Amino acid sequence: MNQQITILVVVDVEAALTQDSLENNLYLIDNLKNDGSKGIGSNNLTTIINGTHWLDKSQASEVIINWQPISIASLPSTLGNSYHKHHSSIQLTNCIGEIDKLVSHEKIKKSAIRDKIDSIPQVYYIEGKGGNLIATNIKVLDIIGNPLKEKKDVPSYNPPQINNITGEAVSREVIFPAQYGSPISMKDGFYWSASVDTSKEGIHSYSMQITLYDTIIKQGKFILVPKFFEFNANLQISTHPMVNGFTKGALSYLPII
Amino acid sequence: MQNTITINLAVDVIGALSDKSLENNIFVMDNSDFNSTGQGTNKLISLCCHGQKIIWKATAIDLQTPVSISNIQFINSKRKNDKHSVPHKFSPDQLEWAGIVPYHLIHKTEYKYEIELVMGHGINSRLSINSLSLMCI
Repeated sequence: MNQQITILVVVDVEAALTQDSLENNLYLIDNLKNDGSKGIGSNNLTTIINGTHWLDKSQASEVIINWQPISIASLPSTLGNSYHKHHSSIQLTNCIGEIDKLVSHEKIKKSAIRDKIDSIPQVYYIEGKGGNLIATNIKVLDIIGNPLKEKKDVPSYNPPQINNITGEAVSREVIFPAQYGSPISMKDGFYWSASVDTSKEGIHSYSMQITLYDTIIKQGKFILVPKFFEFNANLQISTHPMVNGFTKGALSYLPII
Repeated sequence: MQNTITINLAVDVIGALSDKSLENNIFVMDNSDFNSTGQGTNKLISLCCHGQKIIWKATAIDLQTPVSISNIQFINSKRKNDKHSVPHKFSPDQLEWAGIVPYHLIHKTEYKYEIELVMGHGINSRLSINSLSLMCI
């Protein structure tokens, strides 16, 4: 039916990183169950696309697919993009205020100040090519926005990212994927989308290049380490001829008497 | 005079399915040159001429929701669409709803039609509305 299709790519990020495999830690869900999609909720999805064509074989309906990668432990989608940024800046202001109060006391306890400084949120680093560490602007916070100290507390809500969509379906020009900007925070500002040439009947496979982020602690710093994975899914396209709704054949006069 | 008039039905699919009614969830517009009345409402009277081609299209306001026209039936018309005679042969997506305004229509007379939309596949997925009409100027 004429609509945009969503394929939800749900990843158990923690398990996938531990096992170094997406195989049993990825679930594909599309919203075309009623059109006949197979393997919804499993790691072996075949999305059924029922296309239509005109008598000259040209495409009569276009189908758009949107891929939406999420981590099982994603932040609630109702939270805005700036949630963490906002929360951590409040945290920082509060910390500075409290340190200010502490130092104005006559008997200053150094450890008290140290505790406060420690509660200032850290940022994640990424490792450059030469092994140097580059600070990102992503704060190390738990799910409600409080600063974290221990690796074991680091939540796996860093969403999986799709970096590319390739494979047979792309090289045969069945789908034309591209990355688009999105105001929807759930999609982290970007999402992959493709239009489908519904005249290309048959089963076509495609491959999603997925990046997950692991966290390691080095020199007391939280470092995001990208891990690259690849995962396949299928599209099964059929196409049906368009007919006139009134006559179930050619164009004619409206049936009014 | 234009050859073709398109009647576009903008449908709030989620609204219609939750209300179980198209009544307040459909907004119909056409591009007739003759100043049709009720544009953007559910009571559009499309003004047309004999011999013009009329095309109906349904558009979902939320692009992620499905909607197709499954039937159009002129009310009080003796000719019925044989929608039950070929069950399941055509999916609503395959149907192009277009026809030519017959020459026997009486001027300035409203010809009401019932339009049935299908939104998804469930037992409550078909809803219809019968407040739209064609009128020859």
